[in-house]
Amino acid sequence: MADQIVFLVHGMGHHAEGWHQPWVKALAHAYNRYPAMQSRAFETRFEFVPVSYDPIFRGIVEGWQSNAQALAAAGITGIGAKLTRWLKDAGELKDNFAWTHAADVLLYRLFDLAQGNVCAVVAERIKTTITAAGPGARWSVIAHSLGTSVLHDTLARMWANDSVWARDHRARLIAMVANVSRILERKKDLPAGVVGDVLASPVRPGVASNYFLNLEHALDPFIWPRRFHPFAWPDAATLAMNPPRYIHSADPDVLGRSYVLDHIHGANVHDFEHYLASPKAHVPLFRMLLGEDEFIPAEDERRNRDQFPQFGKLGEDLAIRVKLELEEIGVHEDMGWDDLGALWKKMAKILRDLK
Amino acid sequence: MSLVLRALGLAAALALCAAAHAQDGARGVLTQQALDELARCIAAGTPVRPCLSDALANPADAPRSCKLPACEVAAQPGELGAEQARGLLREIALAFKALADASTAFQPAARQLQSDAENDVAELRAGAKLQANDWDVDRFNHPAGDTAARRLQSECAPAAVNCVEEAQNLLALRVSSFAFRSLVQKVNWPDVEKSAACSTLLRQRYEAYFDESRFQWPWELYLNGLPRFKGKTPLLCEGFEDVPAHQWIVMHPSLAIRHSGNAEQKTDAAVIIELIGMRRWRWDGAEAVDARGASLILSYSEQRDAKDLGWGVLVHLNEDVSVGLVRHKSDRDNKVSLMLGYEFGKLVGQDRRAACDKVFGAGFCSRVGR
Repeated sequence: MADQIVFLVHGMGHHAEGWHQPWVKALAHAYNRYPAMQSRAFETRFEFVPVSYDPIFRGIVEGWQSNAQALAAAGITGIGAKLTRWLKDAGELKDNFAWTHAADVLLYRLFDLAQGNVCAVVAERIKTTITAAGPGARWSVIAHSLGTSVLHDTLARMWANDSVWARDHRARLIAMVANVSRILERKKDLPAGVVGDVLASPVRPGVASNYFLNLEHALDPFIWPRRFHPFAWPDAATLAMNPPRYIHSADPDVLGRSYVLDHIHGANVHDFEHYLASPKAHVPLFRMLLGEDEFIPAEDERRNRDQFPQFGKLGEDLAIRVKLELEEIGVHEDMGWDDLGALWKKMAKILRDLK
Repeated sequence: MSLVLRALGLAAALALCAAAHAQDGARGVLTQQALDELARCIAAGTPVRPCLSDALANPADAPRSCKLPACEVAAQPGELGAEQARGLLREIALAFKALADASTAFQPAARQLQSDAENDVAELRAGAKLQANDWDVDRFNHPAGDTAARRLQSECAPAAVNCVEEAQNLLALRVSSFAFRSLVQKVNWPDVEKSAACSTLLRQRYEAYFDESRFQWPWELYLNGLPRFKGKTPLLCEGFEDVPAHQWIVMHPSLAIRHSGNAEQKTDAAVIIELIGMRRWRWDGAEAVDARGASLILSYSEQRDAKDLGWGVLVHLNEDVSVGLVRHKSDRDNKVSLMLGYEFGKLVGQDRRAACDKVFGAGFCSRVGR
């Protein structure tokens, strides 16, 4: 058994078996760049546990597709055809952005039964893994994109009504990568005792976790609509703690260190691996996972930051083009969750153009 | 004079003995391996804090650092009785006391932890639920947490004997807190197991809901999640509501086979739309049992001697199969048809035998050789 369990929660889109391997590889690659952490091997420190909820969405849309196809095959016309024609491609995975990505967000945000099912599956995975590890187990969780909302809602439920998790099993770190939990939050019609407001819920440093890391890339269009950037929490005492207990990559930490992510190594700046490639993302992540700043001394951090190229293999010209196109999307904080689909369309076009 | 000297000598011996005992108390918490490892870190001049962290990395590593019986008990499977737990927690409180006596730098921290531990033991005796989070060294302002470790780091000269001893004391405080936390978790472990089992049940009920309830089109799935349609669902565990035990059927198009004894066209395929209907069941563990339901339907099929559009009712025999009656208006006598409905979507993509088995039951088509 490793030192701590780290749950990985994926974002929107199709995630087949083994989806987490590239994430673990990216984390291991980053880990091996810092000699001070090598007193223990990567595998000894972390046991990564993927948490998958994508099969729920796939099951639902495939059901819609097959039933719509059955009606179409029977040659029905009229209202039955009109009601179902648009569902005929719902289960296709290839080049079907609307159904593989946008539908995930819609299903999760709008369909209470889908959301309830997703949260139940995620909670079961977390609970049974910790139960199997036994008393004393340490755990952290890293979530990406839609997974940040899923994680928030699941933990808000687990922490409700004086539960044993709230009393005994606080996480060490909650890391939100490309956090969309605020734009997808639901404040009404929730189970008794559950706080859906992401700025008021127990999913914060000092309550559900000891450390909280929020990573956002300056050019990532999805983090901007109703951006997660709390001013009311954490409190001054938490903000003043050294090593820092709460880091929002847009703000300097208590020691004045900046974490603004603005590198462009590919067109998909929303991608998890793209985020984690930067020392500004993985250094605070490892420090918080291990609970000590000294695991990555300041000089190692500086050296890695200096060596990390702003544009990577993409090259300056292409990177600048990506930057301009991403800026042209015209995203702003007043956008609502229903704008996410349009944002993805624009993002998908940029990705297609630069393929 | 000799009496005074003898008394002084005795006092000195007692003090030495107490100091040695206190040090033993501190050492009694830690394994020799943990002590050696920490001493190695300090001698190498590496930062002490990562070393402290590594020393109590996880419960599997507890035997490496922790000599307290509590660590061993916490790592063993099985339940822990309140009486045994109190005894073990009291031992940890005594370890904190010994550390308070042994340490100069961390005496206030050790006293605080000793007092907290004694309070918790008293509360446990009174039947209260203890909070393991209070004993997490990573929590904000834990007496042996960040602040203490930072102080050690800034004040400790690696060559000083005191530095090594105080680092060992701090490690012992952290290991003891870890042991206390693990033990409290163990005391409350039945709640954890119950909660995990509850989530498994909830997940299984959701699976049953989607597998065994009637297929839902997008608008139905949406409506069935709305509070007005879902109704009150009790909490099953923590903040997780139970899965509904009914579903509304609204504007649900599907296919059916129509048969009419008195129509010119006796048997054909029909499109039906269930205008409104409901299916209810009861949860028996993870299974949906006693399911029943019915819908008001419109049916469309081409008729030679009656109107194409008919209306009627459909009774759901199970999640896939329904039977019903439909009346088509006619100039002479109205035509009544028997409807056999099936969710044909489940057959899409399956070969003929699998589809046949799906309709008539597993193995049926294999048995009859079709």
